[in-house]
Amino acid sequence: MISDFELAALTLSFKVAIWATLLSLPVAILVAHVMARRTFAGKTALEVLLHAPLVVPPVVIGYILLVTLAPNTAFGAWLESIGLSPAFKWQGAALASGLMAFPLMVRAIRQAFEAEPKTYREVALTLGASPWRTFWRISLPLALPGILSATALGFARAVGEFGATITFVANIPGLTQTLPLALYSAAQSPGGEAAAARLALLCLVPAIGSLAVSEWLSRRARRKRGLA
Amino acid sequence: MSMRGQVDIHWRTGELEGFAQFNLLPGITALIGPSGAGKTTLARLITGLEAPKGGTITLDGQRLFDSRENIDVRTDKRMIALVPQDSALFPHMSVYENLSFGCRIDEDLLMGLCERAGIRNLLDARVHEISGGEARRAAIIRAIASAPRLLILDEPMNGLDPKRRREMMALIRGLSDTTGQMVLMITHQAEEMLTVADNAILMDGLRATVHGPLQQVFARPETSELLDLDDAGELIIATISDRQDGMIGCALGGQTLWLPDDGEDIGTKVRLRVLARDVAIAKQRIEGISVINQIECCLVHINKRRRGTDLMLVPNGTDLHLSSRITARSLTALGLKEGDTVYALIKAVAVKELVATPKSASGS
Repeated sequence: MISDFELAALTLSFKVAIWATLLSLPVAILVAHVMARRTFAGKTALEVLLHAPLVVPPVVIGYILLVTLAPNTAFGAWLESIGLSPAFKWQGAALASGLMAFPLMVRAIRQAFEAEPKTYREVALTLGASPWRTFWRISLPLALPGILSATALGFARAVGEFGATITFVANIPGLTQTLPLALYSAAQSPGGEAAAARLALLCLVPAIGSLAVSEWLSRRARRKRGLA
Repeated sequence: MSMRGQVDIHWRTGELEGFAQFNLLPGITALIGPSGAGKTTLARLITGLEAPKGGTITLDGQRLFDSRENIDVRTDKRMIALVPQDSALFPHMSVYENLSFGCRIDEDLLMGLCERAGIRNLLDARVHEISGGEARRAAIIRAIASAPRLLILDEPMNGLDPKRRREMMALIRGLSDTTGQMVLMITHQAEEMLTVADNAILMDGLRATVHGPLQQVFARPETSELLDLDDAGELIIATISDRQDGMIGCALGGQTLWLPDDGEDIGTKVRLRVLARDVAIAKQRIEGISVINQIECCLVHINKRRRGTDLMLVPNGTDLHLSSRITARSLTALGLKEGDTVYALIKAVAVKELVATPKSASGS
């Protein structure tokens, strides 16, 4: 029904995308919160930089990763020496996909923070809750539906990531060959049309699955507070 | 009366400069003024959600804000709880979770407060399942449970129907009496101030400087001008001293003001409103008249107005005030002048008792 080759690519894709999302999520929440609540010098510049992965060709992002983190660079060599080099490993694929998913997640989470009426956190402060507790007990739970859909979006984006990944960690079966990369290989090889079609179908599983799960979770969160 | 806090600040609202200078006294203080007077902004400044341009805020001897000393205590360290107009119950929590969010009192006490506010059976409900009035009561209990030094209520009676409004006033009065909670209540309704408050601060055009015990503030000419009181009249706070023939009597010096009996106990403090148009004047006691109250007064001031004349009266043996509105013709016919002794004729049924409910009106 499903070949070992396909299963390997599917498992790898999940592993890469899960790590990419988990890596990006806390940073995205932090950055989104700062962008939603604070004003500071250079905010616009930071905003442009944050959105760069959305508009810059993914290949360029992969290339930048390659020239900064590959073992033949100073930083890459140091990472290699402490055993953390991501180049040509699945960790590198996770890094590249995480980076590509990051701006999408920041955008969605920021909107959720901005949609929160400030009266809730102000009242929490007057009740003696510290800003930190107010964030954990009020802002974060209220933004939860937004954070969930941001996570799904980021996950789907990470599963589909191609350009940055293939440039940074190449297309090594079993090691860095995620579903899109496998699909690309199949489409390139003569007589691989059927395999390509099956892989294309497989690509839809995590993408649509994640959207469905997030929709269900955020619906549940909204229903709990009477919004749906 | 001991002073618990002082506010002396100025701030900026857009192009306009705001200014507030008053003392906070124990009990319930009404911050009263028309919409747009800056009352909510002032509340936010006191809680520290907004920063004044300069001045000082002191509460219970602690400096919360001082522009000279560069002191600006964080909102969460001020222990000033705010109940905004929209209640702001956290929508992702149950009512009980809301109440325990900032709770610094023990569970029994909290449950007792819930009982009084009539929200005991709503504890497990989600916030969206309860009514606006219930949400507001829960928000008030949540704020009191955080054991604040000062509780600020922003228009707590707004949007409630008359019955709920009376219940809310009784609740606020009762909670303040039993817990000793110092309350600053924002309102634009004279009735709410007169019914509930011990003290008042007037606010208009971003300025809040007229302040003091309720009767003093109420007697100021600015008050009736600012509040556009439907009818001129006086507020009398008196104690029930007698009961006869379905009436209760309140001592005014050596005299008694009678009004219909609503079942209060003797010794209960009541707030009475006597409108100027309900007070007629006689030069001597009159026999054979249905008006029960004939209060001997000194006519201290005559104020001729475009429509009618306002007489300021002091019942003999008291430092209270009554006012009477009569026509210019009556004034001439009676030949009244300042310093005269006159009798204020007040129908018992015209004495309006300003209490939310008979029981809770009893002062502590």
